[in-house]
Amino acid sequence: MNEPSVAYRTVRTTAKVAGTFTVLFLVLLVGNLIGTTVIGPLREDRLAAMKVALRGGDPTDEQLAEIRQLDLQIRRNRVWRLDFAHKTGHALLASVVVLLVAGRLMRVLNRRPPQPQNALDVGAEQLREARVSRWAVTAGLVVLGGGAAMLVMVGAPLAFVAAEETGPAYASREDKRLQWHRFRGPDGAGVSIFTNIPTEWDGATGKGILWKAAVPLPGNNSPIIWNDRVFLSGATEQKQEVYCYDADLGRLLWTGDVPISPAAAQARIDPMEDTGYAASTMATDGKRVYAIFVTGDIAAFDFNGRRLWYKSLGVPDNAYGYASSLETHQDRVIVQYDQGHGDEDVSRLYALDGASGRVVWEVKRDVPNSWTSPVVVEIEGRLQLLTLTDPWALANDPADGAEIWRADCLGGDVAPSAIYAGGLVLAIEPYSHMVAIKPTGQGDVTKTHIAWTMDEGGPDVCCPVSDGQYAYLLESHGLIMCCRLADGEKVYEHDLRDNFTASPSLAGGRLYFLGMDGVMTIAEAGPEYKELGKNELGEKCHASPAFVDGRIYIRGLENLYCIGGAVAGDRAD
Amino acid sequence: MPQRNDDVTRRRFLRDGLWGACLAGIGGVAGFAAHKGQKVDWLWQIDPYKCTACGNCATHCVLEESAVKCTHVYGICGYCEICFGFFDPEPFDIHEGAENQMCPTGAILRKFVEEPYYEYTIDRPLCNGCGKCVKGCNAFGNGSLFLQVHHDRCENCNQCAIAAACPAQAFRRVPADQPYLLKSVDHV
Repeated sequence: MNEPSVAYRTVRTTAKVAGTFTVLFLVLLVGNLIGTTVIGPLREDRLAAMKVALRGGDPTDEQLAEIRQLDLQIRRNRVWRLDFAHKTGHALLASVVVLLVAGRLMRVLNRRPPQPQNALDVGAEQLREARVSRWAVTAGLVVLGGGAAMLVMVGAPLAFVAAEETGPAYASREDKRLQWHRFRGPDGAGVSIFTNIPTEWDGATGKGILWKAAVPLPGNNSPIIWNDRVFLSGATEQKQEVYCYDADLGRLLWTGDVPISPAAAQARIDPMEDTGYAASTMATDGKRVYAIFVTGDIAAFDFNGRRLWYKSLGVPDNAYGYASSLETHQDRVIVQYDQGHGDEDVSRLYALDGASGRVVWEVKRDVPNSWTSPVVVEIEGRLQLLTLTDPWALANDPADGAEIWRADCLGGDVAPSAIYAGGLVLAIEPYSHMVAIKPTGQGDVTKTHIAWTMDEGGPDVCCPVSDGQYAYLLESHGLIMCCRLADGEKVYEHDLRDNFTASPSLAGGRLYFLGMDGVMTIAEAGPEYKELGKNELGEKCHASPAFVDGRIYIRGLENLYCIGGAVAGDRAD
Repeated sequence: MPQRNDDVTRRRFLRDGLWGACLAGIGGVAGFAAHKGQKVDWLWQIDPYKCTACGNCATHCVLEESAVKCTHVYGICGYCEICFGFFDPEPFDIHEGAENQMCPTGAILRKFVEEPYYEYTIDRPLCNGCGKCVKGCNAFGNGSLFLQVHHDRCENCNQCAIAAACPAQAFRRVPADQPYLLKSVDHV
């Protein structure tokens, strides 16, 4: 056996050194990665916790010094680790190149002339190689087949996710008709297309109640429903939250936090108790849900509870507390932001992009604060965005905010929202009158398009409801007024002897009146008052109920109730 | 033997060949330049009006330190004393102490201008594109801070990893001669 040459030994030593360095650099890089991904975040969490601990307290100089020292350490460490990773990475690359070159050179320097073999050995060797090749091909095919089978098995959910990701950016108006996507449902009219709505339940015994779930924070906003999700919001002076419940089981699926804007925190907003901190009902476009609070802070969440954006529209100057609910149009959220006294140029109507929260369009309004909510309705093939304020009933184009028509017909503190029924827009001035406007004009239609005025008073809080023949008005102290839609003539009055803040609703030809003491009075829609029954929930209620296929969702002061059960899909149309 | 006028001498051949090569070279260079002038390269960029500052830019870039960094348009900035791109939403105190700052890398510098105005500048090498300042500024301020892909660092991957992870579909291709999508003062 010959001694290896000097050149070979030199190259071999070089390869060993390069290999050692390669391993060393790899270990260092892994250590650095652990430091970056594990130790770094732990330090950052500790810093965040220390910052939170400062709030509301009186920190010592030592505490502040500790925070600043840790902050500096984190920042320095981050820069150092980044620099270390770069340098070590380059060194690793160099050592791998040296190792490969040295390895190749070793083979070249160690090359030996082939030894003659006998024919039998050659044949056996060829047979062995052929056998190994067959096994290798078989194993390769098995691996490929297994991979294909895995892809087939996981392909369906992948395709489903992709479809969800790339589906329409927002729900159609037809889709919305099957849901309860905003305050008072489709068109904000308080009318459900389903006829299979429950008529009997009892909070004391649990009869007819599918589930009951506690709501963490108070709020006077109503629940909204999209498929198997129920959304509502709650707030106090210190916290603003959005809740998503499983519509079938009543499980709280997630809670979304909406930060209170610094301006609002500084302003120390103190709304009227009847308004509260979360009076505005949320809205959804079928992809995202939107919530706004008395602070003027608005936020968007996806259906999994991820907060997409939040922003402050400015602290609203509002006498009783901001309470307008949200509306959606396509992938935009519509905000009626009336405030002040009407001469400060601060009232706005906004359309915000649902994905980012940026203002798509805004309309300045020379109007004072109001408590009505915007509604987008289709009138003779054209969409109109209806809002009521003092003194105007207004219609804008939801696409760009351009004004279509306005009518000077209201005054005072306007709270009941507009509805569109029987070809007319109904607008109420509290304690005074109801006006029916033909929504086919342009510009100021005060003198040309007011069909009739009913002067026998009007609710101060509750919105009207209509079956297309009659309009039903519910005053706060329980007086129901039924007027003919054709001419505004009063048909009947009936006193329910209860107090109401929830607006009346209509489903399956039945009127639903939810009193503040939790009693739901059900009556037949029509020219005579015919009571069909009363159902007690056993909890006070301020919010309007939500109606979907076979179910009613009611928000009490502390709990959310689902009334009903089996979903039958029985629709009025 | 009579000489033919059109005989190709070695000298003439070399001279003509050289001329031909020069002309071909000039034509080639001109053609290449014209082609380069017409060709438009495309780059990835963030539409600041779609961006929701979700934080994915900092974590999904193929680079160890993201090519996305914060950008500031001073024309939109309110020079606020309390800037919520700079300060935590609930700052303990209004000064530059680490306990009050939003930015995890200390990449925003605050400089007094005159009462009550402060100028905020981005220390680009320190910025990691996390978007926390953008979120604060957009939520409670004028929105003068926003994220942009910085093309001195961007690898311009065929499929940008951040674009694939962007929940707001804010990434799009822009022509290389207009590589940035800056916010404008008159944009609502």
